[in-house]
Amino acid sequence: MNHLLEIRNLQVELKTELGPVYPVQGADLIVRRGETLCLVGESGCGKSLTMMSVMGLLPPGSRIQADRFHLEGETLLTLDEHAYRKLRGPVIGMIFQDAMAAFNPVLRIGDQLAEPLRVHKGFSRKAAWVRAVEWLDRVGIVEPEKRARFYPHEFSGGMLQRAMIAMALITEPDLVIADEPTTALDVSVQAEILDLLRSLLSERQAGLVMITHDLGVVAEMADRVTVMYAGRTIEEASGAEFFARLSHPYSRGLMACTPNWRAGAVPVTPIPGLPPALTAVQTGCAFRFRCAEAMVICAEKPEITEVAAGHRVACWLNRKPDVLAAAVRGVDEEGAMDVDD
Amino acid sequence: MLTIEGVSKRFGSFMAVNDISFDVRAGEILALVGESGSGKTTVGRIIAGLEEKSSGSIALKGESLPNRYGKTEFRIWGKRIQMIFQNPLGALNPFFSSADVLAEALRFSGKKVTDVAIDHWLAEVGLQSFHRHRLPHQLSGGQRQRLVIARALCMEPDLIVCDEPVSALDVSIQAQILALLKRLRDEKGVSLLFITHDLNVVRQIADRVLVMNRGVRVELADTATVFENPSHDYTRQLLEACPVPEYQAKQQETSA
Repeated sequence: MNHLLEIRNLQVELKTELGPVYPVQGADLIVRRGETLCLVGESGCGKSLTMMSVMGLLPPGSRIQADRFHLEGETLLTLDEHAYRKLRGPVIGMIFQDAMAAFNPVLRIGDQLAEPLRVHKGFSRKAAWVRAVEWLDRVGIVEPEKRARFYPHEFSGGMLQRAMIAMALITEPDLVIADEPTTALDVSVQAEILDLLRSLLSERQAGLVMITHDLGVVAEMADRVTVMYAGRTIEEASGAEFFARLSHPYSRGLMACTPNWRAGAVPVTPIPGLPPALTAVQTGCAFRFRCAEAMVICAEKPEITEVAAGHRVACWLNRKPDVLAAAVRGVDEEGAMDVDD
Repeated sequence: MLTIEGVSKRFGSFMAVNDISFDVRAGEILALVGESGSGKTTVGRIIAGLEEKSSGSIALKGESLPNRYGKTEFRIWGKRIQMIFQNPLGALNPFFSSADVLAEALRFSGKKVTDVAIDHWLAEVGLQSFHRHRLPHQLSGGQRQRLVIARALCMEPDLIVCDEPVSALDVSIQAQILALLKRLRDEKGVSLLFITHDLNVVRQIADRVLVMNRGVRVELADTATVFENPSHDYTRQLLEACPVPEYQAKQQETSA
């Protein structure tokens, strides 16, 4: 029951020049020690912002609310910037998509790896450098002593991505958040990087959250899968259960538009339309406008409910007939449907 | 239709492309695959006239392409061989509306610039009339890529070289653009040289596949043959490394 990270019903409100937006409207997720959670969805579905709020990196003036927002049993909601500084690095590590942008171009790679050790763990300059070289070696960079003296522009894309993994893991964090860590890389390098991440984390029983829209990567990495749409968690399950029984029409839609060479020349089917702009809190199921299976009841918000052990879905199609019948009756009694579009 | 014979490209002492020969047939989608540094992008750039070749020859419908492109050469060949890049934002002038982009392309290829023509080409790629006054930053990523495709297409070229046209897009948008490219090929009979590292996409769209490694041609065959019966270890390795959306109990094996 002691989850590394537990988020229940997270809501985020951001202030923009054009008024408030609500990019996260009910995110649910759980990360256990030693597990990899893949957070899936299209751009603009609130995946990155959910994890940004865990890291305390939301823009100033943002408001967050949640039923539970706990890291190792302690709430994150009350932390101030000072407390967060002690968390980022030693407790939460981050790996970003664009490795080139994540490094300071005028500092040597070794110094940048060593910095968190000196800041957070009180290492001497020399000891931190030695550890940095060790980690470059562990992430598979050849001639690490020499390469530690290189500047970021002297590294290839794959090497930089490895160095960034080393930088995120060097303080031995309990939770690692990786935002599209391999999309910029070649397939063969991608496979190596994923293997590397997996072995480094399972070694230390740390938790990994991987943000991605590539179901191929999900199939390879995920112990658990959480799918978000329009800022809300709409399906969560173990990796095996998820792929065996895609239960939300949106999850099925994502699968149908993901090409798979092993399946032969089966044409992919795009999901029509785009995710909604989150300038208001959604009423009803936000996916109903793009959903081929939408029903009248979908104008009511479906609660996320368990359909099998550990498999939760927010969709009326997955409700038991009696629940559905009762809900439909409720809608009928109200009379008119308040469908917005 | 397009014949490439013994083409090489040397950057200093580095052979980026080493004696490559192949042909692109009329109305076919030929995928050019390989890892970074395999030379696949260089081949595409040479064909589009953006890079000089060190040796070899290229002919389009029997006419030999020039080695060095200046203004005159681009005027002649630019409208017959078009190119689409990975990042549409970088390929569009930020101050040009969609209508300006298409008008320039139509004018360049010697066609009449009319509102009807612009609306027609917007419609061909699934954009609408009201998109004509939009600037690139007012379009979504998928819409920008559609506009770039319309720009290439409205010149009615023989060949479009597409360099990773869907790699920067979301999966759902990617599926839409792939369907669009395929439909346009079917309707217009334009040939596509589709350069990518994503084999899942190649299986979807290509008629034939050319695999390159370190500047050298590894194999060239029908898509079904390459995927079901690859004749080279290198191709097999690429396929092995390509993540597919099917769950394997891989992580349980490694962590147990």
